[in-house]
Amino acid sequence: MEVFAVQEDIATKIVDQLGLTLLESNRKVLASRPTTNSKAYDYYLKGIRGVRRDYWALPELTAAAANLDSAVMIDPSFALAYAFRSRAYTLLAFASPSAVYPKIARESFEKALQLQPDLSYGHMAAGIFFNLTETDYDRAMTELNLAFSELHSDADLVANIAFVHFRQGRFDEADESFSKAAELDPLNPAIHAWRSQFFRFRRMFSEAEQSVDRAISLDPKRPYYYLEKLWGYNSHYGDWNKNREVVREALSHVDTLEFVWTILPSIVSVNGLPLDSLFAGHTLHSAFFDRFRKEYRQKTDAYLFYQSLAQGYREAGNAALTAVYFDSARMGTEKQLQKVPDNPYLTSGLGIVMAYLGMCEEAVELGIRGKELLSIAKCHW
Amino acid sequence: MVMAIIYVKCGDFDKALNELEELLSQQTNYTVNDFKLNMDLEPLRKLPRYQEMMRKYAP
Repeated sequence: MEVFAVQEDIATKIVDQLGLTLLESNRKVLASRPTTNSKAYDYYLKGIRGVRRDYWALPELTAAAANLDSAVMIDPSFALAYAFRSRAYTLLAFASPSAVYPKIARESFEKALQLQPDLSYGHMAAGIFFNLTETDYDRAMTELNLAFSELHSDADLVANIAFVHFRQGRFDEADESFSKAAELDPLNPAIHAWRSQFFRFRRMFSEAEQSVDRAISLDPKRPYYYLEKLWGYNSHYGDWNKNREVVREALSHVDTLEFVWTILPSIVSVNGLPLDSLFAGHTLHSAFFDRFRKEYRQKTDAYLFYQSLAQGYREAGNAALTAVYFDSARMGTEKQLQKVPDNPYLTSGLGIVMAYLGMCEEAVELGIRGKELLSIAKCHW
Repeated sequence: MVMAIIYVKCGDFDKALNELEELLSQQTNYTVNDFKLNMDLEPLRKLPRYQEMMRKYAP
């Protein structure tokens, strides 16, 4: 296809002019044609950005998955698109527990490797799948190491290796790999945010703040980065004024509703920081809830939507609606849990909902089960 | 943390404190500062064991 021929020609000329010698593996990559269909390639290009840059952002991942679906539908022999499709669905499965997403993720990397057994990105996708979906670190590292021999300068791969080490509690190796990933791709905000999380976990708060500030300066409109900063500030200072600094910074770049939506399931629900205090007396008016209901019902899973609404009404001091929405959250979470019975996040989440509803026996049972499913020893993240 | 909140909501403060102690004594995301502003932990604040824990693990 013309576009690939031009791309290879330009790259080869640059290499020649610089007097460089290409390794055989690099030459192979340059000469490869991932697809002969330009339309499939366009969808692939749109899809990979969401996967490589927006690790945990649900709307971007959903869009990325749809683009990669289109790419493989148009060209069913497009191995590289299958590899990235697998990654999109692995991340979706993590962000939004489902029985369907892991199945598509597994089928996609298997298909990629069936089409092209030595495809490094296929092995990378398999490694990420085993890490995030199966919590099988040994298998994850085997696959990621297979990819590493060719992609050792790929920041995205190195960051994912760091992440496995982080979850395993191998902190020195994680530190080294995160640092290398940030050097390889200093303009990737997601890697800096990830590294910040790692520093925060190690209680290295100055380093955490530096990393998250880099992420914010590179992509100030991403609400998740302010959540990360807020977590760090809360752990470091335990001070309302410091927390409010972050909220003010966030609100100067991000829509209020989007920010509230981002922090409700985590820093508000689990860390117990009341919105009123974070927003310094700002009251959540009914118009706010109307907008929330209108804009977020379609964007998110029912159980999470109801849990967030319940927390919001709890914040606003509306006991009746709090109970109603916690009960809806209970039903939604139970339904979701039937589809993915061993999901630790859903199990623990249902435990909290039950506790709010006064169903203590069930709440404690679920809480213990959730802890067993993902103990600190099993995952240090 | 989830377990601590569940125990507080269900009125089992001793078990809630066990959970908090576990979080602080191991390498986790939590420090005493995370507990200071947590409204769900309000019922524990006056307990001597809670106060002692906050002193013991203060940075």
